[in-house]
Amino acid sequence: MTMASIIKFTESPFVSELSKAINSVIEEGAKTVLLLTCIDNNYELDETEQILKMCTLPLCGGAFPKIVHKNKSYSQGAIVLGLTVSSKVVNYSMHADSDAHLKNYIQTESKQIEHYQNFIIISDAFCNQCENFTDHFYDYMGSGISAIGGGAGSMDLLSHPVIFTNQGLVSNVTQVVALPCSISNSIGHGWEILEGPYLVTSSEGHYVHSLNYRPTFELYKEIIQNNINSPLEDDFFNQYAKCFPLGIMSLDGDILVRDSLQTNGAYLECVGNVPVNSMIYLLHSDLHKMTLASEKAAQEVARKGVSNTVLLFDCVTRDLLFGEHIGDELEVIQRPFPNTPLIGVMALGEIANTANGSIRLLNKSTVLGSF
Amino acid sequence: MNIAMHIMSIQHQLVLAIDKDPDLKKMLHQFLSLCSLSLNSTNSHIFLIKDNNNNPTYQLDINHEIQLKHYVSFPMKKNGLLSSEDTKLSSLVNHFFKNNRDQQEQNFGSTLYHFFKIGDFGVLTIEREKSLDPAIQNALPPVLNKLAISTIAAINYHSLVIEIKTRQRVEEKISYQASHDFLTGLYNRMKIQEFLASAIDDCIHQEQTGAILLINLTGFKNINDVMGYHVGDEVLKQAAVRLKVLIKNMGIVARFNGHEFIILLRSLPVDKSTVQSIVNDVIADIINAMEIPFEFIEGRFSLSCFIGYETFNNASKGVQDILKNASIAVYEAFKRGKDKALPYNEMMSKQLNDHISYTREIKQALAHDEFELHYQPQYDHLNNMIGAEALLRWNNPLRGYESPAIYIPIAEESDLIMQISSYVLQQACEDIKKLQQLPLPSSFKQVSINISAKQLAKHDFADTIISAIKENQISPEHLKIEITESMMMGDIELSIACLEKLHLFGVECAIDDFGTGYSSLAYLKRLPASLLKIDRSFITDINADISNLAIVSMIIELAKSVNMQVIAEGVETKQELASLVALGCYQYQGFYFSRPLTFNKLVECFEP
Repeated sequence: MTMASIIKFTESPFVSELSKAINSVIEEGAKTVLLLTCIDNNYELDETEQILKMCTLPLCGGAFPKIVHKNKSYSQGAIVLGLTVSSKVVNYSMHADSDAHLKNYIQTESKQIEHYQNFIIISDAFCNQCENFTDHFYDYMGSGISAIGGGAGSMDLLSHPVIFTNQGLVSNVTQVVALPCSISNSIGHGWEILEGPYLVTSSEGHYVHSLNYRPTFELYKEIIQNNINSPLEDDFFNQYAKCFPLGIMSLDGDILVRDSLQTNGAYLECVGNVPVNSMIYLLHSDLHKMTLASEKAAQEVARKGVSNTVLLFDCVTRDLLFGEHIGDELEVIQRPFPNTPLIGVMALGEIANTANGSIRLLNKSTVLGSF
Repeated sequence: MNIAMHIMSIQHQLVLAIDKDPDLKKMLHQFLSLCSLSLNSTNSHIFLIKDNNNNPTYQLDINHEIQLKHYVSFPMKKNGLLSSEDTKLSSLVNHFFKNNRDQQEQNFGSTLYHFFKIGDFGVLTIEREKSLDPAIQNALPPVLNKLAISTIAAINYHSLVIEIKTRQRVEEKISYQASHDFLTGLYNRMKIQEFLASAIDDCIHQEQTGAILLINLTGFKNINDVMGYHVGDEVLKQAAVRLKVLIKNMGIVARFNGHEFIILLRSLPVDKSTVQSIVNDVIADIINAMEIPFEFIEGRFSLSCFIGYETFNNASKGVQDILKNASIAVYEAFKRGKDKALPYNEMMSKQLNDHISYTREIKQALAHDEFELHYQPQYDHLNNMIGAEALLRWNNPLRGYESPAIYIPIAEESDLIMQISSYVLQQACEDIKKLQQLPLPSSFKQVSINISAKQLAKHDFADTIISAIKENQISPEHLKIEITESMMMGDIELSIACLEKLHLFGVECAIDDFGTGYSSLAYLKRLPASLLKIDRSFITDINADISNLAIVSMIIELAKSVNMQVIAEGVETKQELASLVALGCYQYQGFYFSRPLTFNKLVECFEP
């Protein structure tokens, strides 16, 4: 079988090592260079820009909170993936002043890849049109496509230039790498219903204002209080929110997790849209269930066929929840692929096509793809 | 799962899309996008009835089989194929539509379809991995009823929008047509008058000067006549573009009429010398621009122009006064021919008035029989009179005999020339009748009359001549008509047909002033003419002027080649005659032989 990619991994936080790895994959016959790096690397911006601009091959990728190699995650280092198949990279600048313009722009730019069916999508996690992008992109490309991806950026929740392009490091961009080979993908999360359903009676994009006609935060606090033995402290949100995300259940029983990011004491801001009139639940999980879900996702991908690249987009909040046990999750993901090193990132929001085929922005999930 | 709550959630989510956007496509797209979210559809589509313009409609045409057409899908494609091009899907949808059921679930291949009627004019199709719960299926019709109502409203809205836009476009078009020239796209005469009125106001309120420049393209008529109107139109379009490019924001360019353009320069300073300097520059640019040859596939055409202009800086002259003055100035420039551009002055009006008075006098002269025909005899080399040319003379009671060079061009500007021509024909016929009753020498063949361009252009020209001959009971062989080469530039086929008819009737034709026009030799051969009259300008000093000698020699050769005779006009000296004899020209007309004579004097020539 033809190798879809050449993989170079370095734990070095220095750009010189990144440069070496890039040159190495080029020498070995790569046609496109995909960079997965840690946001906390000591990359000097000018030098990085110079390396990117001098690269003679199409170049793409992003800087993430962490990278994954085999069964370990790293806060520093880089993975250079030399794609040996003829892929096409399209950078979508997310500056449209209206959704209609964004839709037109996406359709125009996507014409060059309209005959592709398999995509890696890397998005600047802090561009606020990411979810609109996935909707319009899916609308144009249609059902039957396969996509994996995730949000690049920093845990400090500030916008940085995090997308690698031949023009340098850029922000506010969503990048699509169209592959001529098929991607087998699967999603796992392990979150289950704790309470619900609740009707979203008022929401606006990421902001959920009311559930069952009551202020979201008030109800949210009440539900958690009912499930916690000790009285909640004032900053309970920061303590418990990561353990009690919201979930939108599809008609067929799949749960789309929505992480609650912050509150003003009335609304909850989620990572991703929560449509008004949708039904949501309060979710909970534990490390065992989360590990089982990731294992199941990995096994499903492995069952679809053996490939030489296994690419993971794991939610950074899972890394936070697993803490020092993150290796356990990565271990079960790696296990079905004994001859293929797992590579990937801890992302700020994951992207994949869900059961009905549509590309969705996910939270607290594991997205695994092989090609 | 709480199914009741789920149903409520789905209904409310879907209803949210309805009425959200008055644009039907956007609304239905949003609805389908929510179907993906709330019904977990893989693909969803809406098919609607469409009218002949491919616009959705809810009105059924009972006379034709109803065929639903694809309107919108979410997502647009399935496995790379556009749903709008999926003929199988279209066939399934139409099959469902015809079976009079409100909803239906159907497996086809590996796909599960749910069909739902939208009113009686559309179908919603949902593709899913699994079958929809019957409770949810039953919950959808109320939503679809609302969708149907909103669809009708959106279609009506769309029709209204189209109607309003169409009306706006028509109004804009009418407004455009009312103010623009259809050929060149420039403003038209009506609009430039509005601009001029506004410019006059500006002069009053803002102490400014304005100027109107009227541009008349000379030589344009020839292009129209020779090459056809389609070439003429292209010339006008190119001329318009040149003027627009040249004037830019300095003023407004309009087409005044025919081959006349007009330029309004506004917001000029008050100082007269500065204004004159600006106007002079613009005029120089216009003249240069118009003299650049116009190039087309049909050929390269050179034109020039005359410009008349009038400046204004107060309200003493109105719109019509200014336009009239510019028009007088351009006419004067054209008449003088020396200066390409002239400013209007009051003397021009006076001259024009004189011209109008003169025209009136010609009319009176016709009414009072002040015109006469004199006859200049024509001779052969043996000094036999072979004929005579009838020449018009105006015996003005106040000024005596007027030169035809003055009154014929003025008469040609109006239909007076037709009245004069009619007089000439009638008088010549009457005189010929009298001559026929005399013992004419056998050498005397006929009397010739000059035909004007306007006469020849008349469809009944030949019939008019024939009628005059018949009415006066004269022999057609005794009348010869003379036409000039330039007259043949109009409708050449009509002219040839008329001359042919006259030739068959027995009336001969001569080509007058030959050598000065631009006649095509190909046409010359087709003309049923028997005589070429060599223009007097080539005869003058032919004995000494080598080039004239060469030209006349060439004309004589040419005439021989087309089997025509030649006659030399304006023979005034013995030496000229000798040269002509030497060249082989044996027919003559000129003072050397005889000046024009009154009819009575001509008659005396035949008396024993």
